[in-house]
Amino acid sequence: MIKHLYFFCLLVFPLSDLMSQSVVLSGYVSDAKTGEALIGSAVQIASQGIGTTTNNFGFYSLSCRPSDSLVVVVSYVGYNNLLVSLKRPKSQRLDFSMEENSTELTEVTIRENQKDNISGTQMSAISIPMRLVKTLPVLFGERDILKTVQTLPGVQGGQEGTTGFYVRGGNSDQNLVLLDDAPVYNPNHLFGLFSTFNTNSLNQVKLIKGGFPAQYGGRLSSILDVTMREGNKKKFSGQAGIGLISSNLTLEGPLSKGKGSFIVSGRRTYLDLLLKPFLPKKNQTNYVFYDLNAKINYSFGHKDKLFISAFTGNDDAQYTGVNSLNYGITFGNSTATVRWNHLFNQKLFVNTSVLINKYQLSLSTLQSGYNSQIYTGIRDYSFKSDWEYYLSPKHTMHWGATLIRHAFSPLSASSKIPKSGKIPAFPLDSIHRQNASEAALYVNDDWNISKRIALSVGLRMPSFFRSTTTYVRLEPRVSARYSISEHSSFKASFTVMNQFLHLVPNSTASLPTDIWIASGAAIAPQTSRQFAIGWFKNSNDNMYEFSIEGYIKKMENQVLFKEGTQLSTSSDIEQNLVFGKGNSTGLEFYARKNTGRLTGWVSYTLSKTTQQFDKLNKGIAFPFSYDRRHNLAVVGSYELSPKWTVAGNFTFYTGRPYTLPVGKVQVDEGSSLYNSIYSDYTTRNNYRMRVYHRLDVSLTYKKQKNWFKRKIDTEWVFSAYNIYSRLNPYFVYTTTDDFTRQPVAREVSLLPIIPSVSYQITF
Amino acid sequence: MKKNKNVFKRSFFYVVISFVAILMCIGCEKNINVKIQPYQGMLSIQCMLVAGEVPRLYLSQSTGFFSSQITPADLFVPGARVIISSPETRDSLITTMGRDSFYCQDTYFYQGKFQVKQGLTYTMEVSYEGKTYRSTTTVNQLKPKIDQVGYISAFKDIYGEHEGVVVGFTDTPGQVNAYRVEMSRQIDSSARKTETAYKSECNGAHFFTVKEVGRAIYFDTGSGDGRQVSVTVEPTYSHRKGSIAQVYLQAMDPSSARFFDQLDKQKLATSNPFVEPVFLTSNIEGCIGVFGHYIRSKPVQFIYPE
Repeated sequence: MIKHLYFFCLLVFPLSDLMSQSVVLSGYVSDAKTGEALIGSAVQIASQGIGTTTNNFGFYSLSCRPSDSLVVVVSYVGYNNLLVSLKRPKSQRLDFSMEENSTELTEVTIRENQKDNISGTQMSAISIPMRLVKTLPVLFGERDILKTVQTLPGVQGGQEGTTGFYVRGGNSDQNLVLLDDAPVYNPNHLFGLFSTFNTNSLNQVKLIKGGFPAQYGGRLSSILDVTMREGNKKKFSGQAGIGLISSNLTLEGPLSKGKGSFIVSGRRTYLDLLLKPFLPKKNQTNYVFYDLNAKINYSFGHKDKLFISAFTGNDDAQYTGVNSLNYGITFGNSTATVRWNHLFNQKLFVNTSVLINKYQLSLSTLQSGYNSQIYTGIRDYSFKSDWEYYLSPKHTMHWGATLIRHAFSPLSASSKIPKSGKIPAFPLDSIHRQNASEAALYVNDDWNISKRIALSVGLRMPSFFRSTTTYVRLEPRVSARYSISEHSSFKASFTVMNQFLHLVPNSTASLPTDIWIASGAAIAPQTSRQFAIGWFKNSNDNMYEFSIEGYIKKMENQVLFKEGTQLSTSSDIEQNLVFGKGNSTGLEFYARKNTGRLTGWVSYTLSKTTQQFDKLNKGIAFPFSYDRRHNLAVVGSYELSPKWTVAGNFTFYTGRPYTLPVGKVQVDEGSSLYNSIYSDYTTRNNYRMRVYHRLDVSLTYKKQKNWFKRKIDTEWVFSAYNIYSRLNPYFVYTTTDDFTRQPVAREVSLLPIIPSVSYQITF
Repeated sequence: MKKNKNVFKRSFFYVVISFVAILMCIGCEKNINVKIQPYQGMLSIQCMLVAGEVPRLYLSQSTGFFSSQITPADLFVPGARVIISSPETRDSLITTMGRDSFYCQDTYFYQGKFQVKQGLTYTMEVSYEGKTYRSTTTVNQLKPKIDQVGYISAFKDIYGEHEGVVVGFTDTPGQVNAYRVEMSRQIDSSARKTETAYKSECNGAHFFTVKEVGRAIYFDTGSGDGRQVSVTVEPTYSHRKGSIAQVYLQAMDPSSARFFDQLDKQKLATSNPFVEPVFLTSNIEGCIGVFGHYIRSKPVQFIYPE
């Protein structure tokens, strides 16, 4: 196999690249205190103008010209730069342990190094600084990575009460959320108030919105790559926290004298117990969620590492609220991943994974006198192998394969509530299961053509098999970078993506009433073509980052329900779908301050997204349900003193569109059951809700204490969600007064100001 | 002092918990003023020819959704030229007034004087403000026959759980049909609408006749041609044990049936937040409405058992 790959490389790359005598430095970059891998650290040899960054496992490989001496500079935000001098260097393994810079917030730590946002070909990608996340306002004491993702340019949350996030005009199903390579189908706990990710257990979170490298596929709009921490390899430690509605505990420590480590992290709410005394006896409002993360890693010598990680999270809620809304919902994700890293040699790194993941959602909703029952279940078994070959300073190759076996169980039914009030149950065994397989092959080359120009060229070939239907597609991926100077660059990318799974949304519903289905004979895969350009600039030794990106995205085979579709338990969902196109264009502005007492960012997105379905809206294009012209987020954290930090984030969205009739028509002929007044809809999504905006603030107090002869870091976080208590629109519906026969529009708001406090200790 | 500090911390904690828990139970729902979008009213024309009866045509103007114009008198369009013609007759319909005894209001329509004949093709022409709206229909639906009528106290369908009058019939073979159940009976002001509990306010103990038309349309798409069909219809008005109804079955041309079917689906969609909105389409170009025909079966008497 390796020989074949070498042969392939010989064909593709200049002989000079392969035959040149070079010194290869490779190894891992980790945190000196915990041994945790530092993903995305820069490893550079300034004298030769070359560099690379560590991969998701902290591994790097760098080929350089032989010389009498070399100085290797290793840098990572929040850590002291590491300078290592090598005399008459030979190819060798060099592992780096980096010291955290305790005064990172007050001093500039990155100097004279190019950051990946300037020097890399990858555009439309943002790594979220986990340190800043820990100071941001929290809701009910829960830090949330997805809330932070929603403040990035090109990204927006749904309205309060819906889960998911929306990237560059795509639906929430078009985001591939990966937790240690395992897809998480619903990354939110109920209401979207909390994500399923416990920040205590996370190492890195990276969002890619465009210019997708070929190793990623399966979704149209974004990849959210979440990497769990490996655990402290040096000593046993932990974190414990208590919030208003939940508590969390994280334990981690070394295994076999530093050969491995473990981390276990869990959260559980106790809102069910707190609410009970305040609710009337008949009110069934109840809410419980939990999530549990665990990871073990172990090194078998210098060449092999094994990672086993697992995650499970579940929500169970009953809500008896305002007159129009009652529901019961149970949903959860579970994933298990076994990954094996193997170093064939200093240049060839392989990660092979076996994954199992499961998602199920069961929802029974009563709203405005109607009942909706939904069940969606997915079980995936996956195998993937990713190969990274650091061929030369000019070429880094990635290739690999993925195989996934899906099993889907979708059901949706809606009906009027029976007079008896008893809602019929549906047996899960009766749901028709859909089986499908997905496979993909990919190859990608990162090619530094010259000091100024770099290219990333890739091709992915996904295929999908369901019953007798087969889809095979080709996805070219091209990204290019032109360096204007050491601190600014211009980038462009073109990517084609396919998606074989569809989440069928219901535009009028206000709850997560979405169903996952697979492509098949009647449902073609979703496709997107995205072109993006951008200008990137860093200044003041990378203290500030600026970027402006523009994109055009065209999507095909978007799915919605037919007009008036009312599914019953015997309905075939696929027969009730219509297919159309989506168009999204946008401009994204991003300014971020990385270091100093004040850190944070401002992001603004100007965008327009429309959809066109031949069988909806008389074939005329209409605004996408999450089309929002303006989207502004200001996120900041300011260190008042070593003990006190204040942080806040302000969010502003244009109101989302919804459909209201513009006219009414009297139909006397034969109408006795209703009031003979019908609606004249002129266009779909013709109205917009009021603008959405809110400000969240937090105040963090840190103090070190001595408990049981041990130093313990303690932290109080006082925060307020929606501090000025704006009643943002949740959904709007119309009703007709049967006595006056006069239609009225009613707006429902959900979350007023919500103060919270949490207490966290680290030992 | 330290003890007091702890008590304060604990009290503070409980106060905040209580506050948040109460907030969680709060939902805010309010009427809102929606910015009215410009709306150009359209004519609404409905005319269903019935073999053996004189033509009746309803003509109204659609209006803004939040407009206060809601009564038939507000919306009726007088002064239009309405012609229903066939190879045998040319009927010029004239404005006529009726009475909706349940809603206690007058109704307005155009009515002709020649009975509709089976087998003829009719053309409708409505001329109003310089525009003419035309459509044709051939009265070819064959008279259906009800086999039996029964009753079920609790029946579940997409409309929920309700009582129902069960009508059994055999589909007419060799023809594409759509069926709808019609019932006629006498009620007084104690009767209420089953959907909304609305009661008539102007008739006291006096009885008046109401027509109840089943909302769903049952299509024979050809594959089940000639099959036996059983449909369950929810009564529009409440009844007592022993109430007597005349039950008819309408056989309707499929084009008109699609219009009534979408009306039904729209109502379901409007009140059900889980359903996509339904845009109305018309089989008369340039307006909202329907022109078609149906034929009634012979009536079958039905007595409510409870």
